[in-house]
Amino acid sequence: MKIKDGLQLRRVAGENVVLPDNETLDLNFMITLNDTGAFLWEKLQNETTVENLVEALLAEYNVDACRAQRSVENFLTGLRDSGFLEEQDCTDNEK
Amino acid sequence: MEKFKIRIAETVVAITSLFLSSENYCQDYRTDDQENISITITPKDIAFERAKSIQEAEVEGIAYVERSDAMLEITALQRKITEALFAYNTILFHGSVVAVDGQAYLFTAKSGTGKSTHTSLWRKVLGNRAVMVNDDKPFLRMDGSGVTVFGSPWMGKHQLGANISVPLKAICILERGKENQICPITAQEALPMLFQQSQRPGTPQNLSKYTELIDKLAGQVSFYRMACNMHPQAAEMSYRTMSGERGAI
Repeated sequence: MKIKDGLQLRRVAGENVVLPDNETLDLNFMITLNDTGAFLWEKLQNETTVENLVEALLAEYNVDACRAQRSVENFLTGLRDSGFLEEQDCTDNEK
Repeated sequence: MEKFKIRIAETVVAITSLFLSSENYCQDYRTDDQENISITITPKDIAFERAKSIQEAEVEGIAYVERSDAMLEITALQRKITEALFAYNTILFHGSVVAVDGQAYLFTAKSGTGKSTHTSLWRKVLGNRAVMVNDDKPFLRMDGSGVTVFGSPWMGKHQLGANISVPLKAICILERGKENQICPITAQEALPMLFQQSQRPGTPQNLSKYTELIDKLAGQVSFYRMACNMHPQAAEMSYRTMSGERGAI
């Protein structure tokens, strides 16, 4: 899984803001990420897995494995709901 | 094909347009100085604007009104010039700007809220002290010392504005309200509106520059949110609050 093309994270006025990099996506709401979200966003610029993300969080932040797992899952759910995540369908692997 | 040059927010733009009407539209901004950038309008640009108009009417749920190629060229020029001006630390902002005693105040809101009505109340209350910089699409230029608002040929329905520049003191986000109420807000609270009301880059290459300019803007002016009605008292309240003026108006 990774972040879809056409989305960029920028730091503006002290906030981590997600913006479309062309005019086609309309901006009726503004999505901001906290610092953990921004950290995971950078990792998701390349194809990665839930396990890799959890490992990266554990290496960077002083949290336990359970909290790291929960953070990653919640973040991915948020991305998915916003339509920002590009994932393989489970059925692709069976072809 | 028409060729002419205009000076917008201190940048000289050499334009090649399809219609003479575009040169007339921009006549207050004409110059013969050496250009910094060149813009050419093609039939493809006209087609793009027409498609965009149709799309916007759909999104807003309103009837699409056909505009002539000449009218669409005015919009195409505005879009292409704005895109080129990111490189010159300049953004296009949707709002009504009025200047008093050498300071500019920008009012922004969703379309139809009453920005122009509010700045017209400033003119009613303050008389000649209030000067319209631009009623619809001013340019904001960010440099080391602050933010300067510039007039533009794109002045909205009532064509109010002038080819002048004034330092920007404050931005106020308006909403309609029964009672007048204004309060200062942080740059973070204003940020969504700053993104919504500025013309965003059409190319990925300009995105970093754009966000850098919004970041600068966020750090250099004061921000307010106001619920306002259509009484002159609304203008008295916003003027006093944003200017800090204590005496008689």
